[in-house]
Amino acid sequence: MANAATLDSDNPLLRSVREFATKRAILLVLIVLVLLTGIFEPNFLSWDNLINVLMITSVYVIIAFGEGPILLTKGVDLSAGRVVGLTACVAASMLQRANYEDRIFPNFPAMPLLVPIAIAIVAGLVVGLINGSIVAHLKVPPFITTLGTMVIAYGVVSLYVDRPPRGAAPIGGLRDDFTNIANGAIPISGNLRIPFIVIIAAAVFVFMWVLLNRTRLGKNIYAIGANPDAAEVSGVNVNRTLTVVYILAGALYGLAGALQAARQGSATNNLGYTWELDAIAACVIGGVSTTGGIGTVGGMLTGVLMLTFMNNALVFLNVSPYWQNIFKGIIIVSAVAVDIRKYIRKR
Amino acid sequence: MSANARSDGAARTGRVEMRNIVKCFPGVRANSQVCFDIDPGEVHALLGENGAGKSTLMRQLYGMYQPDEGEILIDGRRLVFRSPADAIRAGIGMIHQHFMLVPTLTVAQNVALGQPSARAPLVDIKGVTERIETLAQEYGLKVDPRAYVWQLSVGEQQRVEILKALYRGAGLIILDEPTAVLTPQEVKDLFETLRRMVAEGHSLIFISHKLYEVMAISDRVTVLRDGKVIGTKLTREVTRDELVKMMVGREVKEVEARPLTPGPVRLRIRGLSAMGDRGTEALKDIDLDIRSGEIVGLAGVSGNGQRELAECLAGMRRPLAGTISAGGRDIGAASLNERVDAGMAYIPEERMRDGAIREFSVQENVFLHDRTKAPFARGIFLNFAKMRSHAAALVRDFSVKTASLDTPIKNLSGGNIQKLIMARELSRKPMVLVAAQPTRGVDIGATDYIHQRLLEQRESGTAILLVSEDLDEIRALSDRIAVMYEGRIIGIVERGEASVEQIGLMMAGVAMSDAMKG
Ligand SMILES: Nc1ncnc2c1ncn2[C@@H]1O[C@H](COP(=O)(O)OP(=O)(O)O)[C@@H](O)[C@H]1O
Ligand SMILES: [Mg+2]
Repeated sequence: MANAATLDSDNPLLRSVREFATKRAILLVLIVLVLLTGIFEPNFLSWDNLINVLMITSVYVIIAFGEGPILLTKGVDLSAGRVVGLTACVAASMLQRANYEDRIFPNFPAMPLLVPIAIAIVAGLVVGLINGSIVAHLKVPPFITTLGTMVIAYGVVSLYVDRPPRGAAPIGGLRDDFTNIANGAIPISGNLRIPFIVIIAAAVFVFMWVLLNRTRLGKNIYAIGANPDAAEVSGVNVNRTLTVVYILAGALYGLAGALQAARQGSATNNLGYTWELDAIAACVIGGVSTTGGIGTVGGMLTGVLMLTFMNNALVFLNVSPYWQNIFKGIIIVSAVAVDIRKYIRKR
Repeated sequence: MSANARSDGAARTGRVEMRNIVKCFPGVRANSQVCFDIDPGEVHALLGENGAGKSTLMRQLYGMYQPDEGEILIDGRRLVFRSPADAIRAGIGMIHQHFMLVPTLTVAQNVALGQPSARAPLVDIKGVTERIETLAQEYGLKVDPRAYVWQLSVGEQQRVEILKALYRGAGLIILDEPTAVLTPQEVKDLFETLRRMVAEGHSLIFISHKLYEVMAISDRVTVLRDGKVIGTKLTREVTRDELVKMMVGREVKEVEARPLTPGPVRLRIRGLSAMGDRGTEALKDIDLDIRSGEIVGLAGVSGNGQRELAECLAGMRRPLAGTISAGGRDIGAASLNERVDAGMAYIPEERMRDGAIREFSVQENVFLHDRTKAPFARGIFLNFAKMRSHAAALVRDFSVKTASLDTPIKNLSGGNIQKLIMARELSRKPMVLVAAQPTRGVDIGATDYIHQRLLEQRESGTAILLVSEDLDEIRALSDRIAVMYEGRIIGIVERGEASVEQIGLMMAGVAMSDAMKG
């Protein structure tokens, strides 16, 4: 009796094509999306637009690289967006131009650029440390822990930017050397240029790739997500690993926050609102399993690219922005529906 | 030389002693005042029925649980293990009853997990792979370091567990029921490995409830019963019968099935195929008849399709092809309720997942299926008085030990839960009964009882399929034994026709005609 399994293994070409298609389904969809939009709107494929999309992607992907490893440990971080907002305001408040009339700290001395950015990263890291310690040691479920810190982070950032009686106002007038980090670029030729922010994101990508694929910490993260008992009895310090994962995420949110403030040239207490959901969506679209232990750095990047390219394509095709949400929702659910075929109990 | 390549040869751990260990779980005293010791280079067997407290005791030695009272000493020095990492540092390794591996990582990654690396913070996969290959060679543990764990058979996974312990430099290795998942041939290989480990100077704690294994491998044996040490003996100075008595607390007579002439065919399976959970074909072209008044035992190493076959019969898994008929009625595509109406009853392998609802009371669990049938329901109303008296009668008849009918079933012991499920299924007077691992994790008293009930059911004319990994149970109860291998029935033998070894060969995939020659 010939069955499906033997047919498959008989034809290695067919099998590898099929394997590639299921494994990289999202990448294929992404390429098709980009090419199709390019055919309808050639400008979509111009250097200017592609570079613009990559710049938008850069901040989001750094957030996704924080959220992704947490999802790998079977956790979730709802505080990501609010921490980005908090750290954006922290960085911005220290980097206003000296001659700007509405400074939040009127007499703040001018600092070397890296100091406020480092402070933003440390601020994110502290929130991550709090999240991680509560999850690892107090055993509060990550969903609840980060729901709490999400709300708290918003309260803190609102107080931080609050200037009674005016209330919370945007922090503007950011220094040019700061905004240049996010908007500047190394020219190559003509319109082709490499933005600094893309270089930063690429560096984070490489860092994360090595971390998850080549280091003990990375393997511990996968192990904890796939089988926490096995990790424990193998001698993995589960609590410490979990804490480190949240700390790392917080630091990445801090970096993303500073970069976002620089890109916008301002920051408000509402910056980052619901961005954690986009990060989770991107990871999930990119094949990170919410049941833990499965997912790759490349997948997370693909997921973010998918979302940003889709938004951008819809703008190019003159589709109402309201449709973006509808498409996003459909993609999230269908990506997981396809992905989960790989693991579901076949009955 | 890399840091993880320890000097080869003896990794010794000194004399380990557990003194007056007490460990309680809610409602159970799993260990009370247990004393246990092991000398360097010794094989010390820990013998006891399911639930005697063997795993609990060893998990304390491995730092997974902390004792409520008592202490652990190595070479007279008191140590406290807060986590397995501490125990590993003290030279203790453990092979768990249910393997603790990460399926999505490779063998080498699993072995290196949680261990220092020569190239920290990076993983030194090359060094680890080489070390695994050396160890595998030395101890006769064949396994591919590059394979993913989910691709491995159960026997291979066990070898990975052993390699993990050796890689961590464990001088004392605890093996928690290592033979439960192996074929008789694999058991032989395992014993060969264990002997090499002893020759290298390792000490072993060998947990089992199988006497002949304990007699074959150990120097000393300690018997646990109900969490207490009944005694510690030198293996060569003790007999099998003495050990049984210590283990069970009374003489046990084997259940005996009266010869019967089976009646008409009640369950007929033809050409049945089905997918497994991994998306591969787990059942291939199964033909099987079971007659009224007959018990057919389904033997095989776990994972060869027995579970899938039971689930197909129970209506929990959809067949790809083939037919199932009960009493002449085709039930291949029937719903659960239709199957019950056709006279099928099912005792599921995962009794807490598929057979009961943890938080529901004893009474509610009795009525999971029959709630809406007469005489318990009239129209949309339930007759609670009738339900209560029925549940009370079942609990009494099957001597289920429970505080009350309203106790949540999760508070009952494994044996009592199983008796209740059995009572529920048998109270429908089924024509066909599928019993999957009916005595797994059940104490010997309840096991005895369940065996008696199965034989009674056989005498009353039910056709019974008994799925079990316990070959002794299968051989004691079955009129015919069907052996499964890789999704097929590789052979069917009559009662008494084949020896344990012959059945073992078939379980390992040797064709029946060849197996029966030996
Ligand atoms: N984690 C736990 N929580 C509650 N009860 C447990 C736990 N582990 C074991 N027990 C109970 O402790 C007793 C001893 O179990 P165990 O040590 O697994 O026995 P054995 O390994 O000898 O079969 C059993 O009654 C079991 O139900
Ligand atoms: Mg046990």
